[in-house]
Amino acid sequence: MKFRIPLILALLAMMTFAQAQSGAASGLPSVAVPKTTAVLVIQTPKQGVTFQQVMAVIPDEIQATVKLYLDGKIREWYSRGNGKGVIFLLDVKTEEEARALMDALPLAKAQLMDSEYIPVGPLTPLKALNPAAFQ
Amino acid sequence: MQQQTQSGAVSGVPSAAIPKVTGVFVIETAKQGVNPQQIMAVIPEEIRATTKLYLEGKIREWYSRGDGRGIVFLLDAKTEDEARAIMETLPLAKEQLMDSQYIPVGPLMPLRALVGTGAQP
Repeated sequence: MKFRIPLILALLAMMTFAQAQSGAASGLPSVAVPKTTAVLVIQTPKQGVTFQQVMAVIPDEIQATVKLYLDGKIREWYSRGNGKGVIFLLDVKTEEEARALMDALPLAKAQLMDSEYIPVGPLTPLKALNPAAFQ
Repeated sequence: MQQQTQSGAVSGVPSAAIPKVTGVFVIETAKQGVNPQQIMAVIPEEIRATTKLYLEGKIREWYSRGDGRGIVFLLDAKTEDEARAIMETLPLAKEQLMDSQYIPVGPLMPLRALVGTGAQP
C-alpha cells in the first residue's frame, strides 16, 4: 500500500497532464464553435431494461412527445435503426434546456432511459468559403 | 455495440419497432492527440468535398458540434455501410484524423400507435 500511493499520484498527474494536453490538442480552435441552434438527444434504454417495461409507459410517452412536437420543441424525431431508442433534434439553445424537456417525459421519469446530449449549430467550416465576409 | 442480423432483428425488440432506415447520423470528432493545425491543413479540401456531397443530396443536414470538437451529419443513406462509404471519401477520414460514430435512423415508430385500430405499436 505504501508504495502504491506515490504511484497512484504519478498516474493521476500523468492523466491530468494528458487531459490538459489533449483538451487543447483534440479540441478545435474557438472559431470552430458555432452558435447553438439545436440540441441532438440520443436516448436509449438503460442496460437491463426490457422492451415490455418501455411499452408500459409508451402510450403516455407518445402523448407527451407529440405535444412537444406540436409546440415546436421537437424539430425532428427518429427511431434508431435497431429499434432501441430514439433521436430527437430539439429546438433549444442549451443542453440544460434540452435536459429540462427530456426529464419531464414519462420514460425519463420512470428512469428507464440513458440520454446523450449534443448541442449543435451551423457548420462553421463554411466560413472559410469567404473569410472576409463570414466572421 | 448491439449485434444485428441481416434483417435488422435485435433480441428483445419486435420487428414492429424497427423502422425503415431513411438516414444515418454521423458524429465525427477529432481523434485524441490530433492537434488543430493537422485538421485545419485539410479543411479547405474537406469543405469542397463536403459541399459537393451536400449538393448531390448525400448530406441532408450538417452541423458543427457546440463544443467545437467536430461535426454531425445526417446522411441520405440506407445502411451504415453506405454511410461509411460516403464518409471515407472525405479528406479528414482519409487522413485518419477523426473518430466516427454511425447511427442509422428512421421514422418514429411509436407513432404507429396513433394510427387507427388494429395497428400494433
